[in-house]
Amino acid sequence: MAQPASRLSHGRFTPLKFLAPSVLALLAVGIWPTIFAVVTSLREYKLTRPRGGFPFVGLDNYQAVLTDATFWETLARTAGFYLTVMPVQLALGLVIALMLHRPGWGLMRTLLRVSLVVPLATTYAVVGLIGRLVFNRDFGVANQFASWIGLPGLDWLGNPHGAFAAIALMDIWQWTPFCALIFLAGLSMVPNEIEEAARLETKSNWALLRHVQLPYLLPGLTAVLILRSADILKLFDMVFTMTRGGPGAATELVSIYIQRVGFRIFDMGTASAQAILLLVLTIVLSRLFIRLFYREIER
Amino acid sequence: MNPRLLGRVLHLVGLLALLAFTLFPFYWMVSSSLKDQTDLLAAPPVWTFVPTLSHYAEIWQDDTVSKALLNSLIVAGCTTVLAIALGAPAAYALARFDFRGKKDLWFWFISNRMISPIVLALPVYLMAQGAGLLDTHLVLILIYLSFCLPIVVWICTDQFRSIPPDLEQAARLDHANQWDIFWRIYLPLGLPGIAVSAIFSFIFSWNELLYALVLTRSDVQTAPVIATSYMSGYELPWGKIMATGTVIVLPVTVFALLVSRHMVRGLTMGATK
Amino acid sequence: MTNRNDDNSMAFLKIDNAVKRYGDATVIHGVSLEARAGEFVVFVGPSGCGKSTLLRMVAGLEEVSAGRIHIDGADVTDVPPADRNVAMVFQSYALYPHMSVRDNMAFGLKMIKTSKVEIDRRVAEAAAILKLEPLLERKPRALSGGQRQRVAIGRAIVRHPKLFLFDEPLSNLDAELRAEMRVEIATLHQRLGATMVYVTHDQVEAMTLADRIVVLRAGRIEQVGTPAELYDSPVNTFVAGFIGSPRMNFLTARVDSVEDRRVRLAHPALEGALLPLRNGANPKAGDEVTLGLRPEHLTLDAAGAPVTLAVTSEYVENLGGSSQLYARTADGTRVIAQAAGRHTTTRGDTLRLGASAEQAYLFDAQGQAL
Repeated sequence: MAQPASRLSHGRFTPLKFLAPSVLALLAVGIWPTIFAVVTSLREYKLTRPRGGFPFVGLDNYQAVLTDATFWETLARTAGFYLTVMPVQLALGLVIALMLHRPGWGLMRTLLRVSLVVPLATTYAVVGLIGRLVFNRDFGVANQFASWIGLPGLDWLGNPHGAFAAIALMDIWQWTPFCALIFLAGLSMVPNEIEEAARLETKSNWALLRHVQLPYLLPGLTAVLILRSADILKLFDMVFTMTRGGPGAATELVSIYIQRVGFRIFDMGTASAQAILLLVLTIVLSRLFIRLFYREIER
Repeated sequence: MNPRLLGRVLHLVGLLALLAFTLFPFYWMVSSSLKDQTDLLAAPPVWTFVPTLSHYAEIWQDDTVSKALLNSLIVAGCTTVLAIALGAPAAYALARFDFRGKKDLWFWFISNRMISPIVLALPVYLMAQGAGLLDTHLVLILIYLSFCLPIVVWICTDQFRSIPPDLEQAARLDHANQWDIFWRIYLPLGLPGIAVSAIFSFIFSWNELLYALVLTRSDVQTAPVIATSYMSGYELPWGKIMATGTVIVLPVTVFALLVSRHMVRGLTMGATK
Repeated sequence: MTNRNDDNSMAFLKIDNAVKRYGDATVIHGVSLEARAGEFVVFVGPSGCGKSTLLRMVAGLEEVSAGRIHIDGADVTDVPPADRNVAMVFQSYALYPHMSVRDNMAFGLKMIKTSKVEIDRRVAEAAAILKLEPLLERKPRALSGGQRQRVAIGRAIVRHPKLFLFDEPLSNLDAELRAEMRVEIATLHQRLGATMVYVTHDQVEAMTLADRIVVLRAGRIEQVGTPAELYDSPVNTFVAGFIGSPRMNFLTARVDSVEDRRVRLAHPALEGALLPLRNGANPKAGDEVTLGLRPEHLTLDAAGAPVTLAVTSEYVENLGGSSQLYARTADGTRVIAQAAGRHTTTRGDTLRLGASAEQAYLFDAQGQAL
């Protein structure tokens, strides 16, 4: 990997000078607020009902959060969302990657590959807006598609299951290209000659995928699984603009829930506790990611 | 039919279907923005129509939208500049120097991408409120650094690593100091990576909603925030909404197309190598 | 159409006017050739001559733009590679990195649902031939280059293919290993008696391994023949210069006179150049010709030699048991001579090199053999 200039004489403080500004900046906008959040989580901090200052209540908030059924429901819902969209994104992403990898129709393939960035770059908030129009009961195109294949129209956004399906579909639309691009990168790493050697030994594309290409896809798969799980914990923009978490709490994923507790109910103490718990979960995930990722590199 | 030919036809059909899938929502947004109100409310929706630019004219005249776009531009631009100014030197240090704790520092930089914004949004709100910084450009720029800086650092470290160390050694023989080497060799040669990371930084800053929602009131609302503001009431001005959406999305889509080849790296922070 | 060939003289591999185009560029221009069963055929030529492309067309890895390919009597032009029953050894070995050596070799057989018993038997057999037994459970990354190459060959053997194809298999090995593997491949051919097509840019490999050599240039066949035929009777200067190392010396000369199936050449540095004519060639006085003299046919001492060449020496390379002299004629043409033993020279010395008329080659102004 890195090839540092061998034993070059640089002052012991030189790296520091280069790194200090950015490290300080990240500390200021990252660590400091986190500490503040921890402190807040240990206090009763209801902005709508300031009780002579914000008294220190120790771990009461955490206890409340961990015994709060709604909190667990929200996490379960978020996990359910992950389990709903991931398989589809992986499968569809793989199909796209295979189609882009297969030679022929070069111009078309380039066009598709380039267009894959459109969903990824589209402002997530706007994606939610589009979703609201598409899944509209009366003049939304989703119901029109449904009628073309003989299914009755739904009140997507007014119906808990429909709303969940709608946000799932939009997420799938937006992030399948991500999976596809990663798998494509993995497929491109298979040396040409190995693919050819396999073509001399089997006609079956399935066998080629399973025995020859799969090992090259696995590192990417790991990255996708973990990055997407972190992303879904963060998911806010699209769902917020599309359903605001409704109807009821049908699409209230964890970030939306915490935002509601913090900025609608203004119960900062509880929200901070929830956020810290979320942070812990995220750190566990990122450690996992890095450990798995670096093991792949070491191979 | 010759099986080879059949395979090619199926391949093309598949590619076209995927192209349609990828671009459909985008297409729908743009086409809806060009429909007049009756066409928009047609049930079932119409696919052919006479286009109109009335919604765009509406936005043009609406101060809120243009102000929001300007705010987005200012915030995204400044964040990007700042992220590069801080991140590029850091990336150089991580790429070329050897020191204790380098690996851990690296991990820490990268893992910031995984942090859920809501975690920081709560305390930053309280801190900004206390400092009177709510609804200012500055607070957004600072908080956006939390995800832009890691991106810049990662991509630029990658880029700087690929510059042959021999150049640095040759420069040393010419009595260049560390800063000279960075400024005159690594920056110019690393420009592609820097440009890519700048574009990513801009895109992510432009698209960001949560922090902007929480930390702005009326002065500094960015584009994504006003996108959410139309959502109340029954008779939603869909044409105006879609037009606003198009205008918001267009700049970053163009940028993204520029860096499409680097998309994977930027999003996964090089995880797939 | 019968497809069992007992008659040895029938073509086992037949390439019939094969053409390969990439867009507007034609890379292979209507190549036709035949190989008999059990023959070792080598495609040789400079980079870009199309030899690998031709091999890959036989394998089915490249589509044929025009023409047909027949293996063992069957037309395989439209048949997918896996169904052609050919095995290929790649330049980079192309071993499956995550499979053990055993699994690498077994893969092809597993794909056609061969019984486990049979697979094990064949793997053991190939491993014994190539001395791979101790390596069977290792992964490719734990093997040296030479070992990987043998695994690649083993993978080809177990399939009992009709045709073995080799695409510059030794190019990635160091010189010593290359010589060793050359012998192994030749031994393998003797042992298996299979038809083998081998691509290389190294004419030493071609000369030592081939039953017949196909010399290619820019997508066309220049000459097909046994190593001896190519050495003794090259059809043009390209083949003459390609075969034999060090490269043949070429001198441009004029025909002085023609008498009695022999031609006298005029060249400032030559004396006594009275050479026999072959091939019914009919040069006239004043024609420009190219004279070819192999370095190994030149003697450093012209005493008693019928043809002599006056040169100014430049440099001698001492290889221990033999020497190579680099010199120039008066008109600046570089001449290399090879001789046994150790010789020295001083730069600027004038020497006379000796040659015999029978060992000289003659080509016309277009480079065709006379």
